[in-house]
This record gives sequence, structure tokens and C-alpha cells, in this order.
Amino acid sequence: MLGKAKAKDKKILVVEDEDALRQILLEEFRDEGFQTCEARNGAEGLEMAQKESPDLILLDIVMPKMDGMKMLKNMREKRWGKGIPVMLLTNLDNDAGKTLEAAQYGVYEFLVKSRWKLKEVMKRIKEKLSVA
Amino acid sequence: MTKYDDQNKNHEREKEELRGEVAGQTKELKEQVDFSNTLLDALSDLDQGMGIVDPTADKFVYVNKALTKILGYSREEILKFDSILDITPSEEMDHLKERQRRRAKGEQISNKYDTAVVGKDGKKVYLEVSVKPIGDPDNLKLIGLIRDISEEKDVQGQLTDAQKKLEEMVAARTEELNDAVLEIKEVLNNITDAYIRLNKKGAVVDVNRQAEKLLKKKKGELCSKNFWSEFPQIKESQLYKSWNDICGGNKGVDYEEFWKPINRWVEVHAYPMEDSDVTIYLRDIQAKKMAEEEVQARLRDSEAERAKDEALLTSIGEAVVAVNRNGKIIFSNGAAQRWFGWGAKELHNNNVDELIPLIDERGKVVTGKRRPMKKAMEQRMRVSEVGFSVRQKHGSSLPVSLTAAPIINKGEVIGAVSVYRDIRKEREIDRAKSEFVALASHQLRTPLTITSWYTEKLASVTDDKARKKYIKELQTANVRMINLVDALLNASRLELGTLGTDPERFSIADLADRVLDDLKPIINKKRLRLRREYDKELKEITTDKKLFGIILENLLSNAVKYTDELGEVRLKIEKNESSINIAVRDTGFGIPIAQHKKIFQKMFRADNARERESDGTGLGLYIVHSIVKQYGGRVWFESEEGKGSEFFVTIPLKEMGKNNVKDGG
Repeated sequence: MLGKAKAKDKKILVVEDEDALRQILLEEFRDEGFQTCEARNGAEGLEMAQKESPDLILLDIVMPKMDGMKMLKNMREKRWGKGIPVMLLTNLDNDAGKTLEAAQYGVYEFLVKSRWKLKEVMKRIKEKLSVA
Repeated sequence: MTKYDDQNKNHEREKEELRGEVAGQTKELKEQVDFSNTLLDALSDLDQGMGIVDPTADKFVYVNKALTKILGYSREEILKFDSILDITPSEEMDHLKERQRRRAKGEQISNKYDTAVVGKDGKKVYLEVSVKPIGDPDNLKLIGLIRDISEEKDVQGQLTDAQKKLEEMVAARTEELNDAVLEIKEVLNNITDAYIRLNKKGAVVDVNRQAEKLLKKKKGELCSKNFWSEFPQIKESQLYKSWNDICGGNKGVDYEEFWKPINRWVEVHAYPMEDSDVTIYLRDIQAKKMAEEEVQARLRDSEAERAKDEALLTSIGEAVVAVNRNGKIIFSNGAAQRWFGWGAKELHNNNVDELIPLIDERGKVVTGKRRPMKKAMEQRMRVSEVGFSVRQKHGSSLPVSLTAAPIINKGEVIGAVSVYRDIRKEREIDRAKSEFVALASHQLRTPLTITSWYTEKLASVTDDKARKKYIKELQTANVRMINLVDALLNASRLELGTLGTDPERFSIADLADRVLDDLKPIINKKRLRLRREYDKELKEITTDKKLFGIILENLLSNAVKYTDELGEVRLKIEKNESSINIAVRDTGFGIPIAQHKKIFQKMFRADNARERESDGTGLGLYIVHSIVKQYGGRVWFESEEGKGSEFFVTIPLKEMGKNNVKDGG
């Protein structure tokens, strides 16, 4: 049922290596009232995910140290990581193969970064989390 | 004894005599019959057929064994015939009936004749019959000797056939000969050679019709006149000059010359005759001479044309190859020989498929019908292919774009010609373009997303502080994009050799300072220590400011980017007689030794750089390297992971001032 949950009760983890993008996403979520946490690469992301138990993860693919695919695969093998909904942030062209691969690890949505407006991203996330 | 006794004795005696006579006659008859029988038996055994016929009915009354064999019927059968006509075929009927008729009339008829009968087997049997009448006139019989001449007839028939054929051939041949003779007669009658006969002194003895025409004088006017006097200009001719020789009977002459009196070129044949006259034949070759002139002129023209074409084809920058209908090379220009690696002799008359193999985009050899020249010949139209490469003699491939066209002469395709264009450069450009586009779009995505989202936020907030923040990010993203595009363009231009140099006079120190100013924000943020060491002699130089600036920018921004907080960056620029030397040192995280080799490669970023700093094109050092190389200088470095790096550049002074705006390399 829509609008059942409250934003403040939901925690979102943003895993993105580009500072500017990560910042604006976090800001946007905070403005909407969500709890947030962040990671700059896959390794940090795994840590954060385990530690913070987010309700949703926004995951970039191309990152140094450990990319999104590796983190996702890893996470899904963990007991705690199986059920967390993941939204993939992607630059469609070069990640095309990867996104297909990601699908098998249970990805809820693909966001083509340069094509989605922030507003739309928010909308989606709210929908997923049943937040008004 | 009585009279009766005497009578009885006489009777007895008479009976005795009679008995004796009869016995004698019987003996004679018997002998005769015996003889006849023997004769008949003998006749019977003859190889030759024999029969006895009753002429009134033409019926056989006796036939011997041989005749039965000839006719194929048994004796009984033959004797049963009503007449010989029973087995006479229709074509012989008339003949036999005629004989019968004449015989009946009492006329003389030949005793030997040929006829034919139909044997028992249905086959015609040819017979030669000899008849002779025997017996009394009122009991006349004909005895006939009969010979089977079928074989002979056959042979005769063949002979007759052969003879007929021969006659036909001879007739035909004769007709041909007759025609030929007629023709020759015609020709001779209308000979176009003028015939003139002169005596030793030069007096005209005879001329023919053509001579009259040529000399424009009738026979009557010419005869007995002195030829040389009639046509004084002839005295200039070789005929006149060699007249004594000819008359001396030594030899005839044969030559061409222009005869003024008749204003024409003639072929002169003059021969001494047995009676000391000289026969002269003149052939008017005016037309021939003119035609020859024409041909010569044409040849000269066409040769000039051909020479021109050849020169053109040889100098043309593209490779040209022509083949005949069978694919054998009949022409190749210099470019073709050079490009494909063969000498002219090696190419000529050999198969184009073998010497100039074509490879398609998938790497497969193009054969048979797919070959453009073959297609052009079959379809009678131009064929173009852009995707093929030619395998050169030494094995490498040369990408070409080729156009083939059929060569048509008098409506028939006699070969094809192909023009090949070297498209290595084009391919390179294409590849560079695609690479550029791929790289650009990939790398631009992030700053573009930033721009997109931050402008979205900018539009939706009113808070000034927030707006300022957003605008700052936008500016950063913008600069990033500009730098990126610049780097990509420079790299692209460097690769294609289109980056020209445009020297101007400026101060290196100022330029270096400006570059460092641009980096100030990051330097400050990271609290890096900056050291500058500029040579005192470093006044002004003349060189391309932009390119020099790029070298400094890239080296310095790398140093700053890859050095952690509180590190140090040192820039040293010195100048000596021959060169400018730059050294940029940092205390950053250095380059792993394993990756040293690739550091100047396009789009290469060391792993540690990638991990720690997501922003980087991998083009910076590639560009520096290219520019320095273009100046004839050197760039190298010393570095170890975790121990910082130092980059060195040296550029010879004399190269720096050069103005070389390159044009496509």
C-alpha cells in the first residue's frame, strides 16, 4: 500500500566514486528525509552494507578498488546481503554487458545516470520503499 | 523235208537276224543311253548351273544340282514351276518377255544374256545365261548354262557407283576450274596495271587500256613515238636512269616513285624481253601512298596519345592494373608495382588473382566471381569496393578502395581495368574518429551527469548558499569537460599529424607560473608545497606557446593530482646552448615499475592511479610524449610506487622555433 512507510525510517546507501554525484544524491535523500550512508568504492560499500543494513542501495558500476559488479556478487552470497534491493547506476554503453550480468544477481532497477532526472530517481526509490 | 521246214528255217533265220539287229540296236541305244546318262551325270556334277527348258513354255524339264543350289529351290520344286517367269522379278519380266516374243517370231536373239531371279530365300540372284537350242526342230529344247553373277554384279554396282562419284567430282572440279579461269580472264582483262612496251630506243610498241588512261593518250597517238620525248619529265625517273641496264638484259627493276607527267605515285616493274623490247608495268599507288601517309600520321598521333596516357598512368598516384578477358595482366603502372611489391615483368601476362590477391573484411580471400574486375566484365559496368585489402608480395596487407571498369572495344568486352586507392590513411582516420568518439562519450558521461543533476537542483532551490555550491560544482564539471575535449582533440590531432606549430615569442617563466596558478585550488586544498626553480637565463623564447603550455600543464597537473596531502611538487626549468630542460618532481604515490613501459601509451593509467583518482583520461602523458617527439626532444621519468616520481623533458632549441603547420601528415 502506498504511503505506508515513512522516509525517516528508511536508510539508503549510496555507493559512488564520483564525489559530486555522490554528494548530490545524498543531499537529495536527506532533503526527502531519508537516512543515508555512503561508500566510495565496492569494498567500502560491502562494509557499509553489512554494518548499516540499508533498506536500499544505489550502486555505481565503474569504481576503483572494487567495482559494483563484484560488490553485488559478493553481497548476494552473504546471508545479510541477499534481500537488499539494489538500484544500479550505469553509463549504459560500456556497462551494457555488465548490466545484463547484474540482472542475474537480482537488481531492481537500472538507472542510466545521464538520462534520469534526480526527481525521477527519488520517485522510483520512494515507490520501492513504499514511502509517500 | 518239206516246204514248211524250209520256211521255218527261213523264219528262224530271219528271226535270228532280227534278234541280232535288235540286240545290236539295243546295244547301241543302250550305249547311247549310257553315254547320255554319263553325260547327264557329268553335267549334273558341274559347278555351273545347267538346265534344259522347253522354250514353248519356258518350263524347266531338267535342272542339275548346281542350278538348284543357285536358285535355292529343289529339283522337284523347279520342275513344278509353270515357267521361269515364276521366279522372275518384275524388273526383268519385260526383258524375258521380249526375248520370248522375238524368238517366237523367229528373230535372231543373243545367246548370252543377263537376268535375275528371286531365289527361295527371297533374295535377288543375278544370272548370266548362255542358251543353245538342241534337238529336232519339232522337238526343240533349250539348254542353258547359268552362272550366278550376283557377286560380280555387286562389285560392278560398286564400281559403277564409284565411277559415277568420280565423274561428279571431276565435273565439279572442272566447273570450279572453269570458274577460276573465267575469273582470271576477267581480271586479266581488266587489269589495273598499265602495260607499256617499248623498244630498246624507247619507242612505244604497245600499250593497254590502262596505260592509255594513265598517260591520257590513245594507243594510236603513242605508238612509234619516243616515250622519253613524249614525256620528258620521265627522264628524271629511275626507269630512264637504269634504262641501259634493263636493256642490257641484266635485270628488271621494281620500285616506287612519283611520276611527274602523270602526277601520281606509281609502282614500276620493267623487264627486258627476249626480243629486246622492254615491258613496263605501272601500278597506280597514289591512293595507297595517301593511305599510308594517313596511317603514319594517325600512328604518330595515337602514339603521342598513348605516350601521354602512359605518362599519366605512370605518374598517377593511384595504382592502375588492366587485365584481358582471361584475367591476365596486360598493364600495370608504377604505383601498382610499388604498392603490390612486384616488378613489371613479374606482373605482365600473369594471373591477377594470384599476384594481386584481395582479402575481404573477414580476412577471407576474394575469389572468382567476387573479384571486382571479373564482375565488371560480366556486368559490363563499373564496380566499386571499399572494404578490401590487397595482399602484397611480401605478405602484408594494404587496405584499398578499388574501382573496376570493363574495357569495351567495338561492343565486345576485351578486358577490365582497376584503379586502387591506398586508404590506410583514411582507415586510420576512421579508426581514430571512432576511438575518439567512444573515448569522449565514455569520459564525458560523468561531468555531463553532474551538469544535468546540478542544474536540476539549481533550478529548484532558492537558497543562495546552496546555489553557490551548485554553481561551483557546475563550473568544475564544465572545466573538466573542456579539458577532456581538449586532451582528446590534441591526442587525435597528434596522431594524425594535424597539430601544427605556431611559434610566438613569450616568457617561459610567465607561462609556467600561469599553469601553476590554475592548479592553485587543488594545491591549496591538498596543502601541497610548491617549489619553482627557473634558470636565470630563461628569458624569452620563440615557440608554439600552446604546445609548450600543454607539456607543462600535463606534467604539473599529474604531479599535483597524484600526490597526497602535504606532499611536495617541484618544477625546474633550465636553458643551455642547445636545449630547454624541464623537470617536474613530486612526492606522490609513484608509478609501479611493472607499468613503466606503458606509461606513455594512449589511454593508459597505472592501476594505483586509477584506484586513487577516478578522474583521468590516460591521455596526458601520451600527448606530452607526442609533442616532445614532434620537436625532436626526449621525455623520460624516474619513479617507484610509494616513492614519488620525477619527469624530465628536453627539447632542442633549434626545433622549437619551427613553424610547421602540418597538413594531414
